[in-house]
Amino acid sequence: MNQFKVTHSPFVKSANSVNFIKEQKLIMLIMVFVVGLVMTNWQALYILGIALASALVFELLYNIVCYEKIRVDFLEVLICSITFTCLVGYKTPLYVPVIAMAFSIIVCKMVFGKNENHIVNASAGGALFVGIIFSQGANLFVRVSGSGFMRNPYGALLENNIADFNIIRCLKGQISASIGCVCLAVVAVALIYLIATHSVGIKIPIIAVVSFVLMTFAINQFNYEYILPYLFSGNFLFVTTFMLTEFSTSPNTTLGQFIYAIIFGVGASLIIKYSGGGDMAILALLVCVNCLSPLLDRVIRPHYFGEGANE
Amino acid sequence: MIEALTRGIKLGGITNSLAKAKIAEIKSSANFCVPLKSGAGSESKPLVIVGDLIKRGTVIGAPSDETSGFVYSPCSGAVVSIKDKVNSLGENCLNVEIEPAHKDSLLYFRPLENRDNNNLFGRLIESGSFDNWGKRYPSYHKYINPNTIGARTLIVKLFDSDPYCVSNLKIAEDYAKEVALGALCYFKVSVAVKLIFVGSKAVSKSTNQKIYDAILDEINKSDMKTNQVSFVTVSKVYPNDEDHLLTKKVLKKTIAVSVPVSDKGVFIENAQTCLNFYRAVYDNLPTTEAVYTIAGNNLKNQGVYLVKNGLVPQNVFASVDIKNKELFKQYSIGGTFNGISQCDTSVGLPLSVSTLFSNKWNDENFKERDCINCGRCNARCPIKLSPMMIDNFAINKDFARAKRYGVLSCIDCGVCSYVCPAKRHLSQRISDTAQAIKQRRTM
Repeated sequence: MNQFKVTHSPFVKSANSVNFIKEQKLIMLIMVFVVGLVMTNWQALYILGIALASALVFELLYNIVCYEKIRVDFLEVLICSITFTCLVGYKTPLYVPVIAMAFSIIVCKMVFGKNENHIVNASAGGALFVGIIFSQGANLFVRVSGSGFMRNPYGALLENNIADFNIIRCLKGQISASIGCVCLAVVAVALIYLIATHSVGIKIPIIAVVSFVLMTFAINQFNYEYILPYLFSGNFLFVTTFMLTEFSTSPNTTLGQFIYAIIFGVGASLIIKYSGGGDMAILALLVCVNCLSPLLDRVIRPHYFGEGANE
Repeated sequence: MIEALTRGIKLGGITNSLAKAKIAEIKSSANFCVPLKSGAGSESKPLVIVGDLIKRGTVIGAPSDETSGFVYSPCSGAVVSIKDKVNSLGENCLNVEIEPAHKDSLLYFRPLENRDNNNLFGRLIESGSFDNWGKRYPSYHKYINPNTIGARTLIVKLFDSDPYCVSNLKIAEDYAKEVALGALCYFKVSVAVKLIFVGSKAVSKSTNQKIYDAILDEINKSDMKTNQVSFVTVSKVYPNDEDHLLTKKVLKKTIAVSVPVSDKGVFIENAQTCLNFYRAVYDNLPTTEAVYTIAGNNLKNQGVYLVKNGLVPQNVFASVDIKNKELFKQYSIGGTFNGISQCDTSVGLPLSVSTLFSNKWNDENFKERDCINCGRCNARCPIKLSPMMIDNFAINKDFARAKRYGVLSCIDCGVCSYVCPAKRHLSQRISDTAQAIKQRRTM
């Protein structure tokens, strides 16, 4: 007590910490993955194992080579690898996660920003990268369903047969989709949980979903029957819950968050409508809006209380 | 969900344990260590020398300029030493150490002949009741500032928005009559046209009503018109009691944070200063004590205590009992969120603050991590600053952009540091940057 020390930082701190936020996100991701595993095939475990091992190795190697430190942010690596696994189908060849994680960790996470400060969502970057190099020359923004490992669940939509869309099947996970997106009811529960525990912000997911719904309604001759198939198909909801809301890749200002979420919501709806959109297209859109985020932070400066008033 | 959309901090239920507390006195026979500077103003000149025998209420410090004030002895006794020592702000100043005598005798002011504006203002200056904790000048100076414009309004706060502080509320509950009379004295001094008492929704409607009724009784006995007085309650959000935010909430008037509200004709006092002024005017007593809320989860007897000027924290903590001495590493003087955290328990407590706080210390909770760009600080900042951006500019010493982002308008409330999940010392760095810009020096 004799050592004198003075600081005017608050003496109390909120209980919410970075680790808490990451742990909540991880728990929800594990829940979504386990449900996906049960609904699809146990082979998904291989993909996760390889993705996780690759991510660990690449992060460790990068830190040793560049900083001469043996250090790994285990929570981040877990989140990144599980997110990637949730984005692909269970039939994905086992070399794909290795390439994806190399790109995710080294390029998206470490070279362009480091931990907590990267510009593009690492999992989205990795998944998009492997999507491009293994797309067999197919245009990314057209229908990618079929034999590819990046499986598209828009069956009913692609055939332009709305009557075939069954919301109950979709909620139960009886659809053809990537591992994390087979049961969207679980994803919706995860979103609600993450918002309730303040692990993600409320503005971005809500605005993204609302703008997506409104846009879908508008571009389909105000036919409400299209809304649910659009919303519950593919990985829009998964991306919105776990990737769009990532703090480091989303804007900090309220206005910035509005613009960011609206662009994503409207864009996702348009992609589905006019390009037959699939998982890859949504990921590409996510990467684009991620890149917009630093610009929004730079351009938008909030007006503070009393700015310019009576000075 | 609503809480997430609210600026500032809304912490419910914390004051419940303090709600039933009564104002008690801390009795200590240890030496007092009275600082001659306890706020942002200048240091007062010492008027005593070592060996002097003094009474309670003897002037021991006189103003050296218009930003310093009178300091009175908190007890009868002998001056043991006058030495340069750190005060509660962490700044060096002269401290008068007084060894208390067994018997306390009081020295009173001469009674006022009449209570006109000039006499009241003179008594206000000599009372020592004003605080110079404020950033710009001591509170009495605002009443004679020639730059004041606009119709004058006096606002009296009957609450503290800090959820760990109930000092003003307790004073308003127990001394409503005295607070009303003190407020009327301030009303005369300020030449205001309107007097507004502000309570908090943190307490029940019946409690607020009881306080207001008691105040209104006294007001009705005076020559004041009833349409000049009003009562307002504000929501329980920290920091609602900050001058500019309170002015916005009560008068719907936006005043730039860099301008003192008094420059625009808004004078803000609280229950404590009104009580002090009442005692100086009606009881002829100099101000030698303040009502402190002593709280924190590492203290057994949390409560509201009458603390004499210069009482040493180690004696205070001995009286209220520390639960776990291993976890008692720091304490905070003057507000839980924006107070000064200290390790040294031998500094003299000032009259200008009302909170002493000690939680169980957890080193992990104060370990800084990299910013994760969550934007919570932006969302919660009560004056809509962007603390994470300013913090970034502060680290890069980009003072020009920090200034453009409003660093000089920071009210030092500490909300950003409180909500930050990465436990970054945002308010501290922002405050240091603002100081550096003001002093025109590079850090």
